[in-house]
Amino acid sequence: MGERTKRLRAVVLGGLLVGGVIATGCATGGAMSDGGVVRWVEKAVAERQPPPEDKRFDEIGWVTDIRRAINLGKEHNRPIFLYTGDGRINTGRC
Amino acid sequence: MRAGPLSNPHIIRVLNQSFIPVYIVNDEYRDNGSAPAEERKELERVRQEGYAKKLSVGTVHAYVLTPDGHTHDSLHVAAATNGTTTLAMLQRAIAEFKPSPGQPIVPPAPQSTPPPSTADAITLHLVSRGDDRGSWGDVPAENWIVLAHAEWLAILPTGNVVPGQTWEFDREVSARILTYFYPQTENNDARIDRIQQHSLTAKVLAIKDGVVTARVDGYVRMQHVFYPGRKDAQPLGADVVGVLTFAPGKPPSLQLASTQAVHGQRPFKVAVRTMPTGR
Repeated sequence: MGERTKRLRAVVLGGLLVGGVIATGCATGGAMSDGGVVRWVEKAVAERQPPPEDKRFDEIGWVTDIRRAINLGKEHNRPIFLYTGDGRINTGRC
Repeated sequence: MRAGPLSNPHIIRVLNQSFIPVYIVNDEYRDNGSAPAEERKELERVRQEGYAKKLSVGTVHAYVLTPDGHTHDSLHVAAATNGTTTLAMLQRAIAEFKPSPGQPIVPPAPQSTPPPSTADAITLHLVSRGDDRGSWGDVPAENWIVLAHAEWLAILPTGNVVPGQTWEFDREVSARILTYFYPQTENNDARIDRIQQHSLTAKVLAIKDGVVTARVDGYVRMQHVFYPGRKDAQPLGADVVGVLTFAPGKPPSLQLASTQAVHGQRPFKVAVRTMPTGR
């Protein structure tokens, strides 16, 4: 099978899978047994928490107010680094 | 920017040692934003001074201000995402203003924090992330969802509870949670009228010492636009399982996890958990 054919097949299969997820109106969690659901959910929720390497932003001593930053800059003779962004950089919703 | 220079240990050290780092959310500084008028005026002054100095000026930018707050240098975000370029701007400022290196003036602290809530509310923390990495996939997205007393009561059953009992969560409350089941996108308009179908239902698995443990199954189907203002919404589907525990009269604990979730062609994963009270 040629590489292009393989890629095409992968795209078609992927599309069918995506389409299946979108088209179905009911949850598939029902396939998970009652006995295993608590452990699975606890594990999934724990594993999906942001790891420290994704939270390095929090290692910076941020101020979130320009006037306060200027007051502190004057008081400590430090230049000010100001980032202005769309969305919320602190929550990753940006 | 956050996944690049603002996660770079060297740049973090330089910012903490020699600068007052400040970030702002543009939406809050627009005409109908929540920032005080004096703050909006300061941002406008910074921009006007940048124009006067023929610096790069715009909405998504990194600026260096003098210690007394005047615009000194700037980078468009496209340039600032290059760590070397940003570091060079910071080093130019250090050479110019010669700050004494020291500890961060403001102690570093988590920047994604729960909003204020009443003592009888519960707060859910949601994490959503595309399976892809790089660009939009680099930093997980977070939301905080506060359920007031009446809202969390509405996801619990009424009357006696028995094993095997099933019920559907109040649909408005489940929509308020499921509307954030989307991956990192530039558009963060999470209005619930994007939702076409949704449900969260619970089934009691066990009752022990008065504490009920129920499984939760559900789904959401909606249309979500990647870029703000566009009309090219893509279908989004997420299937969910979860666990709800509660004792009569007490706030419940809810955990949810997507089992499969796709926005357009992009798979993603979501987790929701109730934060301990008193946070």
